Amino acid sequence: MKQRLKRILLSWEAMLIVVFAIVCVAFNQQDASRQAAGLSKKDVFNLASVIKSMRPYMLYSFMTLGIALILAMGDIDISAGASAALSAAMLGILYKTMMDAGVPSGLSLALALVGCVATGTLCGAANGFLVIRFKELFPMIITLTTQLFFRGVAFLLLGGGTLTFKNDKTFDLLKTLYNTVTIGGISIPIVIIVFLAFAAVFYVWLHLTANGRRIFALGTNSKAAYLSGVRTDKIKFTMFTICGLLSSVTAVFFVGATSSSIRADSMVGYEMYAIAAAVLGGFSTSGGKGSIVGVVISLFLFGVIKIGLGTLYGFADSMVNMSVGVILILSTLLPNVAAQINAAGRVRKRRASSLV
Amino acid sequence: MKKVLSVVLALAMLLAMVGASAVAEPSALLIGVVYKQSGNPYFQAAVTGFEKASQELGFTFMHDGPDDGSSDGQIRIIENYISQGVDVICVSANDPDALVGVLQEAMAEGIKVISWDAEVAPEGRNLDVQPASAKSIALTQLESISKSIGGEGQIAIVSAMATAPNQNLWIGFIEEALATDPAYANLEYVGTVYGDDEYTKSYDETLGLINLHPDLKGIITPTTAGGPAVAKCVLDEGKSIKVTGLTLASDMAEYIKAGVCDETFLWNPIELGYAASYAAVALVKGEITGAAGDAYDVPEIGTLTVEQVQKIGESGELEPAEGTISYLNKLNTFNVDTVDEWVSIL
Repeated sequence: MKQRLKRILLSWEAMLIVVFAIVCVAFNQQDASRQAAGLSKKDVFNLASVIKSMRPYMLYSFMTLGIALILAMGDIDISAGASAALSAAMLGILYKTMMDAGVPSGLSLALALVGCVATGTLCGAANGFLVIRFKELFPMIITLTTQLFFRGVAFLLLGGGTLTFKNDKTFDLLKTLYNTVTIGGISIPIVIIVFLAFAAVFYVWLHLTANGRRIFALGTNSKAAYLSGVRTDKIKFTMFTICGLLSSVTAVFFVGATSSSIRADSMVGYEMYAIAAAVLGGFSTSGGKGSIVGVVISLFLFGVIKIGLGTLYGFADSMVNMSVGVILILSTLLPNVAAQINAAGRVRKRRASSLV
Repeated sequence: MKKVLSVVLALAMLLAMVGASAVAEPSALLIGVVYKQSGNPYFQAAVTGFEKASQELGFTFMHDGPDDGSSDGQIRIIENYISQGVDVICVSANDPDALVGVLQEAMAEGIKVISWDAEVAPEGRNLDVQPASAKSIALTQLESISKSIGGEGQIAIVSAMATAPNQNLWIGFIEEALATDPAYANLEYVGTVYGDDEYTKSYDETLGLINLHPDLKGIITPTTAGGPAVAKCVLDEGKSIKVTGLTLASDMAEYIKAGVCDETFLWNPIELGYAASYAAVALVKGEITGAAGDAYDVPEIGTLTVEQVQKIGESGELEPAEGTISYLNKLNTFNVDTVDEWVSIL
């Protein structure tokens, strides 16, 4: 019992929560002192406004879940942003084609959404196939090439321009995905609610089922997992496919967020935001560890930090990204350094005891 | 114990966030400026325009652009501005439509929205502030070339694509003025060639033009991509032909110094930011609403009127369109004295 409690307290998630709390308290202090000094026009950092401002930082949350699965296996997927862009392109192109062909708008949108998700899924499946077929190549290299390929196809479909559907009531339904719903006097973005639902499902699957355990087993030692009867290739293929599917969910929300304007150069670097959030959440590129709870906390933590630095400290967008980079380096280094210090301590202890 | 502590801390933070309330309400007007990309000298120049206006009008302003030049980056910045309670958002949009949703939310909260430099679709803004109308761009160049060649002789135009609507509109205004304005009665217009915004094609077309018309005196090139090729060709051929056009200072500095161009033009980002500030303050004070027919004063530039937007229709003529716009109608002149200070900006 005591062991268990100790494990929870020393867990990565608990640390994240502590950091989260410290950040919030610090930002809140800054907000109060800015107001007292008459520097800000209104209360910037309060629960309602922070939750509402969280929207743009939650767009890649779905992709982050997918990336987390890949990281758990010890692989990486850097094509997620491009496959999302291709999915968004397909959404627009399919809708346009069907509308031009006289298909009713509601049906067009539904089919285009299906096509969008299917495109993302296919992109993911392509990655998965290449990864298990060409084991001599690193997934990093494979997904780098598919990234260029997916982005290229998106450009072929859309050209350099923007595809929009002005005053199209049906397509504008996607814009509502970026809206908020008011619960208990606080406007909560729809994207957050949907994401939490996704996260719950993934939590159960990854942490509470045998299939989830197999993914971590594969990430810890794929050979051992294979020899003990885990179908590693099948799992890898499935995870990459799911990551592609989740990227297309991000694409749908992105189209909603940008007022239904679809561009081939959208969501550049989203896979990096997603990898960053997953790593801060406790997943590691060497595989075998991490938790969905950590990912959820780290996504919110990133959002709060970015909002706070931007609004309370007047950091420019580029500075905000730089600061997040620093946080990420520290957060990935600290556990390693701590482990090294621990190991050194153990060696010293052993030497001391062997001397006696 | 740590977990309990963390939960307590988290709760305390939540309560504190809810409990915080405004202490001092600064009276100064707050403007949020959004541009396409951070670190771009063009927009850094524009910011100095906002700065100058802020000292004269007594407002405070913040400025930022996404470091990747993306629309979702601009949306993030705009959302930050909204939560900080700005009075006006002045935005140069990476995409005219992508920002409409978030800007409509801003307008619903009583924030005024001005697009400058690069427009936001009409439903997402109160007013668009742009450097110059098509007519003034056309006539400025014609006037300049006429001055350069002493008001008489043959002139030609090296354009971009034959299908480029803005180019054709400018050419249309130039042709109209040549035909009707007595000031240009001694200018002989020999025609337009198209360089497709490619360096070599523009060069070759210019060469053909020079060979075909040995007496050619002046060339107007209303395209930043074609300008350097035209000037290089004239310089290589050693002809005493004058060139003017819409060009970047950095591209043309050597030709301006070589005497091929007396002056070339492009808009002035500093004045654009300056005028957008005055429009912003006029909107907040209720002096204008952004409707066609409104007017506001900008020192050193003059009284700017708000007009109905005109777009190039199917026939190539201007037709009324949705939204309102106000033009500075003042271009930035690069000549031998001024070009160096602009080289690093434009």
